[in-house]
Amino acid sequence: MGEKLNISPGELRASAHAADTITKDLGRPLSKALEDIAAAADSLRHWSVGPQLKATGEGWGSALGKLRGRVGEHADGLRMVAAGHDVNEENVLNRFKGW
Amino acid sequence: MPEHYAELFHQDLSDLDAAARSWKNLVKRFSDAQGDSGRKVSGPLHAAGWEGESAHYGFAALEATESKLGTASTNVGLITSVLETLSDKMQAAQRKLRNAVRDAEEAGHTVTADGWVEPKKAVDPRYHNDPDYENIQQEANRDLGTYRSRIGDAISDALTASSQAAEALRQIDPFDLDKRYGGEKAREDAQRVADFMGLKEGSVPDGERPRKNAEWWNGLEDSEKRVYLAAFPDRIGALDGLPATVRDQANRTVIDNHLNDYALRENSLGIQERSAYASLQKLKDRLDEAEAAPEHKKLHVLGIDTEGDGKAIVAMGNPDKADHTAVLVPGTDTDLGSMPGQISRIDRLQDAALAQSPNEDVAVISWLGYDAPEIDGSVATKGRAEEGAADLRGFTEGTRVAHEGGRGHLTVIGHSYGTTMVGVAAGGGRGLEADDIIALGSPGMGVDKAADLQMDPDHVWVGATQQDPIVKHASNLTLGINPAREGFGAQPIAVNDGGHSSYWDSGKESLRNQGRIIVGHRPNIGEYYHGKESEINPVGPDGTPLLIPG
Repeated sequence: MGEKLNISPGELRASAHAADTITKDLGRPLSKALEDIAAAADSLRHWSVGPQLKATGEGWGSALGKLRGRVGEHADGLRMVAAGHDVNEENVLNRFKGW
Repeated sequence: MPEHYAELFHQDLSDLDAAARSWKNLVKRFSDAQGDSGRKVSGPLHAAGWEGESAHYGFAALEATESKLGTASTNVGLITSVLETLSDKMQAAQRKLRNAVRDAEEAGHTVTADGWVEPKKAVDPRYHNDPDYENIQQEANRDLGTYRSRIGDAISDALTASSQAAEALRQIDPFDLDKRYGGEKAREDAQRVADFMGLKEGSVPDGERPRKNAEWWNGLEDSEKRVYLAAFPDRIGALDGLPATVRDQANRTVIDNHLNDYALRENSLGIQERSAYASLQKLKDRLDEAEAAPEHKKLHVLGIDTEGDGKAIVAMGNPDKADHTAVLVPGTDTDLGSMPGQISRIDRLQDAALAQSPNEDVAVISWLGYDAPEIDGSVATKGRAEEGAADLRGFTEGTRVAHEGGRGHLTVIGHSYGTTMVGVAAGGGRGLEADDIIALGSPGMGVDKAADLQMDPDHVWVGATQQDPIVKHASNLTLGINPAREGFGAQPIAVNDGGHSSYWDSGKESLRNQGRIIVGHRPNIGEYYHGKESEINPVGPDGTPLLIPG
């Protein structure tokens, strides 16, 4: 990862900042959606859909939260590259985890 | 005693409605996140030309995450649709139940707390030995069974809605988000949700009548639109008359699904699939580049098909909102792999038009919605043009239908064999509904005169350079008279010198004049050009004349 950057660190930091904003913007709506589906699950607990609503909220809450976190990891990775620090290659790759 | 009577009668559905609203908001948030990531995170880095090992891993990761944000938005949309439909069905069942109870009580029956409808006592029980007692009682309670049945049905509806919603939600598996084929899986999940909502693929119009397509789409609820988009993106993306943003969303899903499929099977792809994979990836890269572009340079995918040589329809700018829209129909040997080059041409055309009228909105579309001929016998006949004619007519009609506000100004431009395509389409059916047609480097438009194009011949323009080998050698043969001849009846625009592909040379007269026509101005008039059809007439193995590639 000791390669020379062919763009300005400022551009990488701007993209990292944009990624941070995405992460932040997803936070509150995600929490609200999870709170509301939990309330709906409780309200419909006498119906077969109630437990499934709970499972859907928990399962998707975890998956969506993880995806949101990944955007934040990419922001960290972009900042690492911008900083040009002698970072561990694995550290950067971890922040650019793909599929 | 009917089970779940009290639960349904007293069920408060406001929490379910609140959940549906907040999940609906989340659909937009994840969709925005995907768009913002393309526009503000990866797009600027693409535009800046970031390269190297970090860039390789970085872009791969960002692309994967952006794809997953899209998949997340789709899945959250499916969950939202299930919640909304569940709420609708539970409310309908609750209304049905309450109406049945009200009617029973108004008829004099008592409905117990657990939902049992008691028989009425029409006669004092002390007279039960009276011979008329039974008859009077039976007459008074003749609707008793109906009330009980209505209550039972209402509860049954609610139980069915609940169990079907539970199953639909169970199928929308969050684990899909971690898998590369999440997009394709989301499509399968959407089809199950469509079943739950009673939406059938057979309800999607056949696509032949753009106005009907638009009426169908506009009549759907938001939740239904979301599910159709997720379940049948290939069908929705192909529907002329639907908004460009809707078709774009559907077709990008189709592209992502194809790319993921090809990536998963990379080692076992056949030659045709390998070629389609490479072509589609090039198109995807070009689309990604445009994510960070200003609004008028945004790309909209209005059609995609990987079968055969592949087809694609891509707009720069939004034709639904544009004051002026141009449709460029390319010619011989154009296929899916040519799209980045075609996008470069529409980019220059749009710039040329905006240079003439900077304060108006201009959209330019590359329409490879037909199987353009190869450099073989297929180029010497009108066959490919005839096969694609109805599709081009449908597309231009759809462009009119989807346009917001008043009638926009529409120009259709053909190049090379694309002029044959345009001519055959304009000459058949009800024409192209174009305000202007431009034929560039034409080997013949498949009609005898401009008046056959079902529009004012004063707005049929033709451009032909004296160095263009196609005009020189291939017109006046099997594809029709050279439209640059005076007798054809088109208006010659002034062109700069150059070969068959010189009509888009930046800063030159040919491009400027196309820009003028696109925004409804009069171009500089040039001279008719009769060509020199006697010089060379190359022929193929079967003796049919061949064209020289553009």
